This record gives sequence, C-alpha cells and structure tokens, in this order.
Amino acid sequence: MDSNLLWIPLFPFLGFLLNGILGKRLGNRAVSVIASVAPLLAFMVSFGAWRKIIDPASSGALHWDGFPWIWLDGILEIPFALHFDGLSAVMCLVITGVGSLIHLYSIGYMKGDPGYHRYFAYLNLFTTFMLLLVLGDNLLLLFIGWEGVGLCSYLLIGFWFQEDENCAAGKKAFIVNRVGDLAFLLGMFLCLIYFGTLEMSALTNADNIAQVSMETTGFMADPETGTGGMAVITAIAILLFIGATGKSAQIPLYVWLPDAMAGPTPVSALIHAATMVTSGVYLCCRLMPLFEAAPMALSIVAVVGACTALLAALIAFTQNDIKKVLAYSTVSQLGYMFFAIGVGAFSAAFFHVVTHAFFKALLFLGSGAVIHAMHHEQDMRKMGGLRKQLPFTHLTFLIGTFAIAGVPPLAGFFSKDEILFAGYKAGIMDGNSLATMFWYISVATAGMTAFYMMRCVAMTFWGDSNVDSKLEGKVHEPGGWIGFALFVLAIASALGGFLNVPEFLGGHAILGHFTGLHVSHANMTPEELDILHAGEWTSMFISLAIAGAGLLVGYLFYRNGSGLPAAFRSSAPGAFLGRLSENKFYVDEIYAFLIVRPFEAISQLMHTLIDQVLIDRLLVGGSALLVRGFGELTRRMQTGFIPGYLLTFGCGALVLIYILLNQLAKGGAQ
Amino acid sequence: MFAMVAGIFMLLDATFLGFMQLLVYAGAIMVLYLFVIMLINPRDETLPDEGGTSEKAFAAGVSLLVFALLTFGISNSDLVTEMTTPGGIPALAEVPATHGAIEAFGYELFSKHLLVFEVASILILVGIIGAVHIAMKQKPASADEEDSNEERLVTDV
Amino acid sequence: MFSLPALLYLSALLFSIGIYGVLARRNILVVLMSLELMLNAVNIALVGFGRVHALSTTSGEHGGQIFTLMVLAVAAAEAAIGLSLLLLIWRRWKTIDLRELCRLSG
Repeated sequence: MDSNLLWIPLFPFLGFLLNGILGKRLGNRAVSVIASVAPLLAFMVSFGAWRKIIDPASSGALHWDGFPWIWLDGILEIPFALHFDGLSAVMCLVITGVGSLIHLYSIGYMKGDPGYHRYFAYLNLFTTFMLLLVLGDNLLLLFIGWEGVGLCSYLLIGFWFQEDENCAAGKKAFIVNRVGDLAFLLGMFLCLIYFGTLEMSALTNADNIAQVSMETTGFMADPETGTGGMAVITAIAILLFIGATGKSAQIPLYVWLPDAMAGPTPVSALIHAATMVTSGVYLCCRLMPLFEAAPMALSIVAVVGACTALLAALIAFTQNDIKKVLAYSTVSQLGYMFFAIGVGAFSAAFFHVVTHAFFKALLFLGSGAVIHAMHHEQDMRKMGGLRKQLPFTHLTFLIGTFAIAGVPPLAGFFSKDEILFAGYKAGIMDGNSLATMFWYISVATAGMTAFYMMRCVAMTFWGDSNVDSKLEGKVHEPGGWIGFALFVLAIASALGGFLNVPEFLGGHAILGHFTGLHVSHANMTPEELDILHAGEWTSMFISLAIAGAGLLVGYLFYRNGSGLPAAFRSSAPGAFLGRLSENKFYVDEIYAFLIVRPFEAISQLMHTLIDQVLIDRLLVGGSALLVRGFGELTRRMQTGFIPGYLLTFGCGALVLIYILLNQLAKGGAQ
Repeated sequence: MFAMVAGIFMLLDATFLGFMQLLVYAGAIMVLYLFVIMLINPRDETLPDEGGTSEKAFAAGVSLLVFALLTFGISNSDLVTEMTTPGGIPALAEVPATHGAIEAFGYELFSKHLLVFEVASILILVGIIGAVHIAMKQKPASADEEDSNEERLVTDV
Repeated sequence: MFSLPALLYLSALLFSIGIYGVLARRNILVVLMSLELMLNAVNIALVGFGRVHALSTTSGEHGGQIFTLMVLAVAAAEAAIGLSLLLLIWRRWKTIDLRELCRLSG
C-alpha cells in the first residue's frame, strides 16, 4: 500500500489547475516555473519509487489500493488503484524525464506566444493522463488515461486554433482515435464478460487465461454446427490491438499523425514521438500473457506492424516538410515495435520504445530548433547548408539520425538490432515463411530509414544554401533551454542503448529483466544456445550492413542536395513511385472517398430530413399549429353571450343529472 | 311561491326552517328585488323584448328534458320506492317530538355542523362586502353603509 | 301526509320551470328570480330527504334542514351580489336586456 504513488500523476495535475486557472494572471515566468517543476517533481517521486522496487527486499512492485470508484456489488467493482512495477517504472521515468526536458525546451520555444499559459496547462494535463495510463491497475483506468491523452492531443494539435487547418488536424486526430477506442471498448467488454474483471493482475494471470482460452465466440463459426468460432482470447487481443492502432498510428488509423504536425514542435516531440503513441505498445506489453495466448492475433499484429513500417518509410522518401519526414518516421518505427510484439519479442519492442523516445524526441526538438531559427520555415527545400550557422543543432541532429539508423554504439542500434533478430529468429531460424517474408520487409525498411534520414540531414544542413535571402542573416543558434534539452537528449540517445545489451554481446539485458518482459534462455541446452547466439551475430551483421548501405546511398545522392539521379526520377516507374510516395499513396483521399463523403452525405440527409422537416416543421411547427387550432376552437366558447353561457350551464346540469341517475340506478354511489 | 315553500317545510316538521325561509326569502330577498326594481324604474320602453318562439321552444325543450330525466330517475330509483311506506313520510310519532323545533335544531347546528355554519357565515360576509363594493359610487366618498339597500337609497341612479 | 316521490316530483317540476325561465327570458331580473326558484326547488327536495333520514346517524337528526339552511344562505348572498352587478350594468348601459350585454361589450 503506497499512497505516495498518487503524487506521480497528481503533481502535473496541480500544475494544470494552477496554470489553467490562474495562468494569465501569474505571468509567463511563474507559469514556466510551475509547469516545469511539476513533471520534475513527478520524476523525483518516480525515481524514489523506482529505488524502492529495485531493492531486493521488496516485492518488486508498489501498489496503492486507492478508493472504490465504480461499485456495483457483485456485478462490477472497479477501484481507483495504482500499480507500479518494472514496466510502469520505466514508462514513468521516461514520461516525466523526457517530459520535463520538453517542458524546459518549450520555455524557449514558445516564448512570446499569447497562449503561453494555456500551452503549459495542456502539457501538464497531458502528462497527468499519460501517467495515469501507465499507473492504472485496471483497464478502465488505463482507458481513462488513454482518452485523456487523446483529448490533450486534440487540444495541443489545434493549439493555434486561429488557423482552420490546425483545428481540422486536431479533429482528425481525435476522431480517428475514437474509431480505435470503439474497438478498445469492445475488447474491454469482452474482458468483463469472460474474465469478470478488468484488473491487470487478473487479466495476466495464467490460470485465468487458460480458462478463458477454452471459450469461443460465435464469430466466424461454422454456421451449421456453431463451433469453430474465433477464440475469445483472440477476439480480445485483436480488438485491443485495433484500439492500439488508433493510438499508435498503425494501418489503418495512422492518418492523423502526419496532420498532427500542425501543432507546436515540442508537442510533436512529446506526444507524437515519446509518449502517447507508445501507449499502444505499452498496452500490449502490459498484457503480454494475454497476447501470447492468442497466436493468431500476434500474427496480425506482426503483419500490420511490418506493413505500416514499410508504407511509412516509402512515404517519408519524398516529403519536403522536415516535420512530416519525422512524423512518418515515427509511424515507421512504431510499426517496428508492433512487428517485434507480433513475433513475440515484447522485450525488444519495449526497449525500442525507450530508445525511440530518446532519439525521436531529440530529432523533433532539433527540427524545432531549425524551424525556430528559420522563423517557422519548415520546407527543407528552402534550407541547406545550415551546418555553418547551427553547428550544435547539426551535431545533435546527426546523433539522432545515426541513432535511428542503427549505428553502434548509439541507442537505436541495440534496440533495432534486437527487433530485427527477433524477426530473423521467428522467420528463418524457426522456419516460418510468413515471418521470413516480413523479416525481409523489416530489413529493407531499416535500410530505407537510414536513407531518408540521411536525405533529411543532407537537405537541411549540408550542401548549398537554398535559404531565402531575407532570412540569411537572421539564422542563429538557439540558446538557453532549447540547447540544454538537445544536449541531454543527445547524451541519452548515445548511451541509452546500454540499458538492454543482449547476452550474446556480453550484456545482461537489464531492462528486459527489470520489466519482466525478457524471455529466459535458462532452459536451453548449450547447443541451442550456440545456435541462438550465432543467429544473433548473423542478424547483427545483416542489419549493420543494410544500415550502412542506406546511409551511404543517402549521403551520395544528397550530399550536394541533388537528390535521386535524374534519370531514375524521370523514368516511368520512378516518376510513378515518386508521385505515389509524395501523395501519401492517396490514403487520405481514399478514406475521404470511402468514408468521409458518405458520412457527410448522411449528415446532410439527416439535416434536411430530420432537422428541418421533421423537427422544425412537423414537430415544432406542428405543435404550434395544434395549439393554435385548438385555441381557435375553444375561442368560440368565449362569446360574451350570457344566454349562451346559461345554456352551457343547463346542459352541464343535464349531463350531471344523467350521470348521477345512472349511478343511482345501478345502486351505486349516492 | 316562497310562502308555499315555507308551508311545505312546516308540513315536513321543519318548523324553524320554514320560518327562516319566510324571513329570508319573502322578507329580505324579495325586498331586495323590489328595491332594485324601484331604482331601475323600468318603463315599458326599457323592458326588453322577450325572445321569439324559437328561443322559447328551445328553452322549453331543455327544461322538459330535465324534467323527464328527473322523473325517470325518481320513478325508477330503488331508494325512493323503498321509502314509500303506506303512510308516506314517517309520522311525527316516529320522530322525537322536538324534531325541527328551534332548540334541537340550534343544538345540532352549533355542535355537529359548526364548521359548515362558520363557513356559511364567512360566505355571507363576503357577499355583503362584495355587494357593497361593487355597487358603490366611486367619486363621492359615501358613508360606510353596511346594508346595500340603504346604500342604494342614497345613490343617484 | 304525502309520500316522498310526490315531493320529489314537485321539486323536479319547479326545477324545470326554473330552467325554462333562465334560458328563455331576456330580462335579467326574471332570470335571477328563476334562479331563486331553482334553488327553492332543491331546498324542498333536501328537506324531504332530511326528514326521511332523520333517524339515521350519518348527518344527525336535522342534517337535511341544516344543509337547506346553508343553501338558503348561499342563495341570499348570490342574490345580493347579482343585484348589485345589475345596478352597475344599469348605470353603465341603461339596459337590462341579457342579449344586449354581449353586443355592447363587443
């Protein structure tokens, strides 16, 4: 029982309240202090909690029973309880740590913005919800955090709401998320029905899972015999995963993420790189036993993840907005994480979450520094040669790029390598042809990642300058908090890999063991262990080679800003692919045609049919007509003609007499 | 007519009530009517033309209908026929000798039916105040007369 | 003496005549008087019933008579108010024709 856990999400929440309500009056200085101190305090509490659970004497987890929240005796009992184990600990530290850095960065980036206090209030609120998400002891609390971060994402994407397209982007994010949430809810309902509870400990309990695995749904059952339907466990896993695709931007619900770049860059760094989009991965890791019991679901996860990674990488090839490149890169990396989950390497996926948080935040913040220096110019074609003017930014951005490409010994190398090995093992070593195919796709995507990131760096920092002449003299290195955040994250990206060095390289997989996701090799024979290690070496060399190739090709093509060889670009397949990639494979247009337009048509129909005709004319107008008609009828009674009134009295008396006599005749009331 | 009704009351051993009937109706209400007629001073021209045949026929129809209904009810009612004893209404001997006399009547009025009595007195009070107020002449501040009869004597009609 | 049904027939007759007067006549005074006639008819019936049920304990020995007394009081009050209204009407419109009233007040 540790009620101190509550302080972790509570500090940012208090920051939100203070800044939101009093922010305007407190002034920018105070707002910055409050907003930055809050996540720092949360970080300290998380750190303290972490220290407690690594103590070998403890049970390895902290728990706060909280208070009874939803309580229908015997039917539904959901307490507001928080749970802090290895997995939550890492997430909390990342969220509060990277979050604090981004808060500090924002002090420099958002200086002078009229909505300063509102921005920090929203950021703190987001932090609250995200922490609630990872600390929740049951699915419903997680879902509250889930929804809450979605809300804050909407608020922050549309932060500069004066522009229509920012609002549209915010709406798109929220609505697409909602679609995923529907699936999440359905998954939760299934859990409630078959597990009887939403508590994490119950959902991951091996006995419970074994019991529920026996149940099947009617979905896809044989119509005659009624058997052979999809297993409940599989259904739950798939539904929860669809929810995760919404939040973590996988196919088919990734379309909101590129549009979300309309928000301030620190927001993109925090929400769409480091934390919110990883909540899908967190969900899967948290419910690892449940997912492992549903192999078909895992296959779907792997396929979706790999395809997403490939698609996003292809689109990133031709993007000219620096933030859009990073956005698609995020989608692609998330695809990697899900691919890892799909082949059963939960530990690798989570490791990649952590390293990705570091280097993606670094990349986004670096791009933010560039954008800030270029006075909000985001098109890379108008940059170039910024290496001279922004040396520090250039260096940190380069570190981030090498990290994401997988250059040792930077962080991304270790995590990406582990994922690729997991694919290799599932495919080639275990002989699964489907996995093999997707492993090839992943490897190719890794190469592409290196390539387009190199392109990004080259177009921005190297070669000849395409900078608008008006801006030439005004491009200067950002200082203060911006530089500080970049510095810390660069270090983290460089060294973060050592958190989870795999055994074959001599490490102890610290992170994997700490979060309980690591698959133990203890019960393997020495021969099997050797084969495993050999496979790991092989995979590592393959991934190194492909990363190196990608980087080299990118360097060669783009170091002078020339781009792909003109011959390729003008050839028919080249031009076609180029157009496809540039237009995001027309996915948005397809969605607009298939989904949005019918919806709008239906809305229009509803508007004219129900709103205007039914409600306005028939119901409202009709009831008015009714009343008026009735009034006109009864108006005839008000003649002022006294004998008429007397007649009415007389008739009334008649009726009364008649009724009374009837009663008497029946021998009834007197 | 009022006298006739008073007579019927006497016959039914409602002696006090019969006297009251005479007092109130013949004594007060009729006097009231006469005063009003006097004040209005109807000439032949001011009297309204009575309605045509159709109106009278219609009214006659309604009243005949009422009469028919009532007689039908009376004749077919078990209750009423039950009460038809050969001797008619129970003779005085079957009823205490003081029935209808003022003592017994007053006793019952002020004990068993006190509430009704009080309510009726309030009703009369309201009637008095209302009548006085309605018929008052507004401009000359007339003296506070209780009886509207006297009031009307004073007023200029 | 006489039987109850006969009394009731008398009451019904008087009542009907009263209704005729109320509906057929135009003179307000006549109408008011017919109203009194109706009330008296009711009084007769009430006293008759009261006499018949004199010995039952529900309304006491003189229940019917007391009720009649109340009706009497009501009739008196109503006559007073009605006549003062008539005076007002006379002062204003110089007519006591019932049908004229609504036409004049439009």
